[in-house]
Amino acid sequence: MVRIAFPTEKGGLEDNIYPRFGRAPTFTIIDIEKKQIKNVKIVENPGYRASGGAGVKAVQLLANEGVEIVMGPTPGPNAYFALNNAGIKHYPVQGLNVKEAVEAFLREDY
Amino acid sequence: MIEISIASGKGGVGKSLLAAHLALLLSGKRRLVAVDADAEAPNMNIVLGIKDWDRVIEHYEGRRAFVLDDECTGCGECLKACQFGAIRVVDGKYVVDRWLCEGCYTCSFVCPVKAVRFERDVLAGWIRIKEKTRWGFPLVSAEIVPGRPNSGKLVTEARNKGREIFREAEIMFLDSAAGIGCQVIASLAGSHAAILVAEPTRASISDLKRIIRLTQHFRIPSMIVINKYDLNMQLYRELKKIANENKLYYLGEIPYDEEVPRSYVSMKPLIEYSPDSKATIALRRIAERLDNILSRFDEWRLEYLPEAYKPFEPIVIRPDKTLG
Repeated sequence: MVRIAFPTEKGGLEDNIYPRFGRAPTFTIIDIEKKQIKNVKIVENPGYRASGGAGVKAVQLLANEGVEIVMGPTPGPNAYFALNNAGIKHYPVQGLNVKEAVEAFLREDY
Repeated sequence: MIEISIASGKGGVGKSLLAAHLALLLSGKRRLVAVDADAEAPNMNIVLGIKDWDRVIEHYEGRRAFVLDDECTGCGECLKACQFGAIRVVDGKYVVDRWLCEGCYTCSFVCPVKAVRFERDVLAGWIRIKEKTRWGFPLVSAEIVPGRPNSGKLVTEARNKGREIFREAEIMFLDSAAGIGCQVIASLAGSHAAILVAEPTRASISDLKRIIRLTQHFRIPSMIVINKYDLNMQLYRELKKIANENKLYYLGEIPYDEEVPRSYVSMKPLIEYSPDSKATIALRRIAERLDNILSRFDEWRLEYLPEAYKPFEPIVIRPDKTLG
């Protein structure tokens, strides 16, 4: 099983990947098992409301949720290092909705 | 909407001058919105000579400590713990200085009787809106209350407001703050292009290199404008070399021109105050070039997209170590 997170606005499979990482309103977290989407969970991002350190707060949330991969726009410098330290991989993706990004991930052509 | 950040690293090199004039010069042919994202020192309105606003939205965020006198035992732990020297004793009572408090919670953490409380959502800034400047485009301006924490959120909200008030706009110009901090990141992240402004001075070159690392981190295709280029021809050549090495599109150069500060004093945009000045002619040429790029933006973007994914590596200074 692999757990992937996507920065989103309202969240869900049909929602577009949000163009910002740390300041996305929500993250849509998806479990993939045997090449199938299993669970879909939408969590609020504390970074959305933060005045500073938004990206780091987002990474803390993803680490707490046990996320292994995050797919979306490039995170800021601080978030980038927090992701590295948390052992979460980042795959740059933009201009797709969550479902399309999952399909791209499953085809391994992200 | 194509969102373009104007950034420089070093302050005072002409970001607002360029951002305001690009908006002015392109407003005739393109639907655009201008956002002053330099919340610490917003001054695009001054360059444009705007004196009044249609709407002012108050922005609340952050927190400030205060001490409940009835519960305080006067042990002084909070005063000892405060890193900012924000707590003082006035007439035997512990008082938190409203300007110095950063809302870090240390005082409430050490207080044995939990007498420190927090005032939340303090007035932290304003978003000012001019629905229609006399050239037709709207201007949104963010301003931080002096002493309140640096806010990327305020910049993000001003940017969202710019999108909201003019949904049909093709272009957004974001006049970024100086430096490479929180506010600059809030305007650069998600921008489709950046215009970097530099001048031929050592300080500007050093800061330009820092901002380039940030644009490469975010993979933002960038252009460069050299302001006051004729001040030092050796450093001017050095800037052109840096531009070349870092795949920056050379958008143009502006000569040193004393009409620029005179136009500020007169509260009129340069191109109106002095339509035939050297700097006006240069700005017109730059705007034309940008207009050409905008006509073939996708093609340009692919050509100037930074190649490698170069993560920004901060230098970490720990208290027990000094820099070599």
